[in-house]
Amino acid sequence: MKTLIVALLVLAPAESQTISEQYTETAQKLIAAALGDTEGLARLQYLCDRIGNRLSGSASLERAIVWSAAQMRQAGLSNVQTPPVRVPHWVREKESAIMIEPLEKPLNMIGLGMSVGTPAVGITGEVLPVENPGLLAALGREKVAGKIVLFTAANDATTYRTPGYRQAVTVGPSRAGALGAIAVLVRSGYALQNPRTTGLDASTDNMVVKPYADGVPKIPAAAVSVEDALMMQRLVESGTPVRVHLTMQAHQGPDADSHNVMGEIVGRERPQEVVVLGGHLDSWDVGQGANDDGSGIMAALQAVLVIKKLGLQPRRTIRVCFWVNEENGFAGGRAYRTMIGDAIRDQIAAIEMDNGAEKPVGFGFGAADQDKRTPQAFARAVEIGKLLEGIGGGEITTRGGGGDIRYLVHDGVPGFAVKTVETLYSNWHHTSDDTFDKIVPREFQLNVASLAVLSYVLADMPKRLNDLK
Amino acid sequence: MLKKIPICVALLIGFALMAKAGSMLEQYQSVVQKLIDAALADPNSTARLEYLCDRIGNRLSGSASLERAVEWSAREMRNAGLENVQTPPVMVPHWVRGAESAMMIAPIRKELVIIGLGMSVGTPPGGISGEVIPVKDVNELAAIGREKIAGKIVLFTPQAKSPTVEAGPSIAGSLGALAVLIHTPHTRGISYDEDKLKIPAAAVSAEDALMMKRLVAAGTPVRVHLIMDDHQGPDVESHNVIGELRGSEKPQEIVVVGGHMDTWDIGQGAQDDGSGTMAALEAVLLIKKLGLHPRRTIRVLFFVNEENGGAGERAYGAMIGDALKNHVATIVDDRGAEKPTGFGFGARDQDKQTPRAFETATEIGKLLDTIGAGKMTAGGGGGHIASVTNHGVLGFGINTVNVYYEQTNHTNADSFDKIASQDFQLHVAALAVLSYVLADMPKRLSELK
Repeated sequence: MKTLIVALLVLAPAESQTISEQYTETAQKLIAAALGDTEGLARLQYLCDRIGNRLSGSASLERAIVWSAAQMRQAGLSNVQTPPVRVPHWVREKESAIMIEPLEKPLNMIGLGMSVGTPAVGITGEVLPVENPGLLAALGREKVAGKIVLFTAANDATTYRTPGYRQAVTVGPSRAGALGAIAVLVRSGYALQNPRTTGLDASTDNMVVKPYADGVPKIPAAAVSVEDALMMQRLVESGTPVRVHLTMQAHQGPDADSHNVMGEIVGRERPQEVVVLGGHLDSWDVGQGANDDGSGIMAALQAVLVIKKLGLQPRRTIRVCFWVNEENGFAGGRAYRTMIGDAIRDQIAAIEMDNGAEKPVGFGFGAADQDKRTPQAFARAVEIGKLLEGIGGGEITTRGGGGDIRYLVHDGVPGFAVKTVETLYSNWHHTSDDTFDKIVPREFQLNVASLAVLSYVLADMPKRLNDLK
Repeated sequence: MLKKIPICVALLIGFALMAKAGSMLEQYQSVVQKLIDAALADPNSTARLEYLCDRIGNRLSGSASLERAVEWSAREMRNAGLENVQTPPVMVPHWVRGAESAMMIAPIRKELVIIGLGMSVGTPPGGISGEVIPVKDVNELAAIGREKIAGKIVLFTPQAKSPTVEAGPSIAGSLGALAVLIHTPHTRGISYDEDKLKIPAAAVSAEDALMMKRLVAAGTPVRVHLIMDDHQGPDVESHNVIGELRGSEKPQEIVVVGGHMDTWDIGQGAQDDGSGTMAALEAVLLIKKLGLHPRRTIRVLFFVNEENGGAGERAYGAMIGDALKNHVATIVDDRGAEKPTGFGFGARDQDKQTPRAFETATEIGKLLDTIGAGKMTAGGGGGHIASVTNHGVLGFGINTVNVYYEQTNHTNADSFDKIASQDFQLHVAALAVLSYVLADMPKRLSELK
């Protein structure tokens, strides 16, 4: 009887084992290795301090690409390549704003990505504070025409994603321009006089981002610091007209050649099946792009290297990918989708880390109702998450995806997004404060650990996640 | 009967003692409550401060905006019915911040966020370039020595409050350094030794300082190009601003309450020290509006040039001359507008120097217990108006919870939006109560030893 049970256990197909039974020991090894690893941090430091920020079209982005590919090769990844991507080439150049009435005061501003510039002499206009673009129509052309619209929606409490702010940087400039406004200023997030940039995004047609809506005048758009926005709002509310002189040399050059960067651990059984993980190599042209998204790509690379260094070779291929142009166009993610073509059916999962390197709490998975759409797959993901409970990084929730993997997710690939405690990230996001000193080594290592465990298990478990419904 | 007399005497003495101990509270409790209630009920308490910040802006010594602030303040005092409003002249230094920029040129080009330290000399017109040598503080500088310092740009990496800021540039200059960068987002004044070489000094953001420190620690040489067009013009005439609520019995005796009118040339000088000056003014106007007439005069004083020279407070001392002996106390509000907790009083050992005065101050503080603003501590009372407090007049300096103030002090972010009106009203209440009681109580505080 006893021998029969043993025999049955040995003969039992792997699938009858739980994730926990199969992978707890390996996960422990991966976590321990990730938490003892400092290579990833050293690379991130190099990327931040020696290469710096890396806007699409810039020389520093191309330096980052060459360096990243060299790093992957030196670390022994297979099939390292840098497939070409055409990216927009928006250039900020010089920009400034000064309040000229009721008194002269330079404003702390930063042009919003993809904005048009002003004429060379700048533009001058009276400031019209409006909470959000939804209120423009009620004011009408008569009150808006010729004005500089100041969108005042607060977004500094905990996140940069409040609806008022999102509307201001997406449809705001187009709607104001349609009513004859001459420029738009948007109140930034976190205070302390550090304005935050972000990309204009009036509409996304066929998954192509348009900074301005078709058929409306394109007007310059810039963020101003919380302090300066509040000051102008106070002045106007107390009956004192405010006039601002704005000069922006921003312009759009012809598209430039750039490249995604990819490297692999080739799968031992089903190399054509791929789990892809990564983030974006480009950043805004301020700060160092440390949290957004230097930390994401360096953690993804290190996760793969931790797997490799332990001598593990999963059944399927794990591909680390650094996409370009996430910040102002998503050209890298689109080019990747085009490149893989029909191989999309063999993309087992896509994992993106692009929310900063604070302490990870788990992963978002799939659509908002993924737990109902594919309950079995969701349950499996939850099981994988349990492997990360020891480091508190394994909570699986709905809503995965990310800017770079949106085209994969759109075509049915299960998407995962790293979720963190996200306490301070929005303070630095898209500002000159997004620098390496904000990276807490231990928290970065925890991100490496959770990416290593999730990608390894997804690549190695006998059943493909997308076969589970 | 004989036996009973001592008991009666003892009882009388006892009552007398109790009455004395409770006298301050009993005497002033109801008027104090009126002052506090009125301060906290005033919906427009921050209106003047808002005007000063938004309509006049920052006001460095020597600037046109400081003079606008002086004129406006005097007008506000007159319009509000203060007496003897005057703007006695003060010659102040006229330091001008020119165009400033710094660029890291090796190992990569990166614009650095800097702000010249007040009173710094400028660079030659084309700027200066040099290798950066990170040094913890002035002590480490001396240990490193001339050989390694000469020709370099010294990057000091202490946190904000350190003697390095004031003394660092002169010491680095004497060792042959080209310039000094200091890891602090705050500007503040430096003082050069007159007999040493003056080299440019600027504050650099934490992010950029840490980056350069990391690069050098990793073995990568860092070079910076620094351009500062800062310079010192000839001294110019400015003015303190004074207004009074005249005393009903002893008008020649004076309690001074105020803060400094000048600021650094960035931000709005909202908390440093717009809020101090405006809270002092509001406090005195509140006493006036309630129809109170203290025995002594309460004088509102806005002194200029606190940030880079101290000419205003010195001029005040020179102006009052012998009237110094009639100064009962000074009260200064210059720690930001966060929730007040009490006052620093006199010197660090004031409780031992003049125990009775300290005890009385503590008793007055108890009147502010209901708003949590009455804790009297020894030390921190003098200094701001040293020409008065260094000569035997007791000084009070407001204390606050001091939670966020340091984040914005001397930065571009010291602006009106940081003012919580409820906290500001508490400042008005605390200043009104302390100045009123000091001006009205029968005995002068300075007579109590």
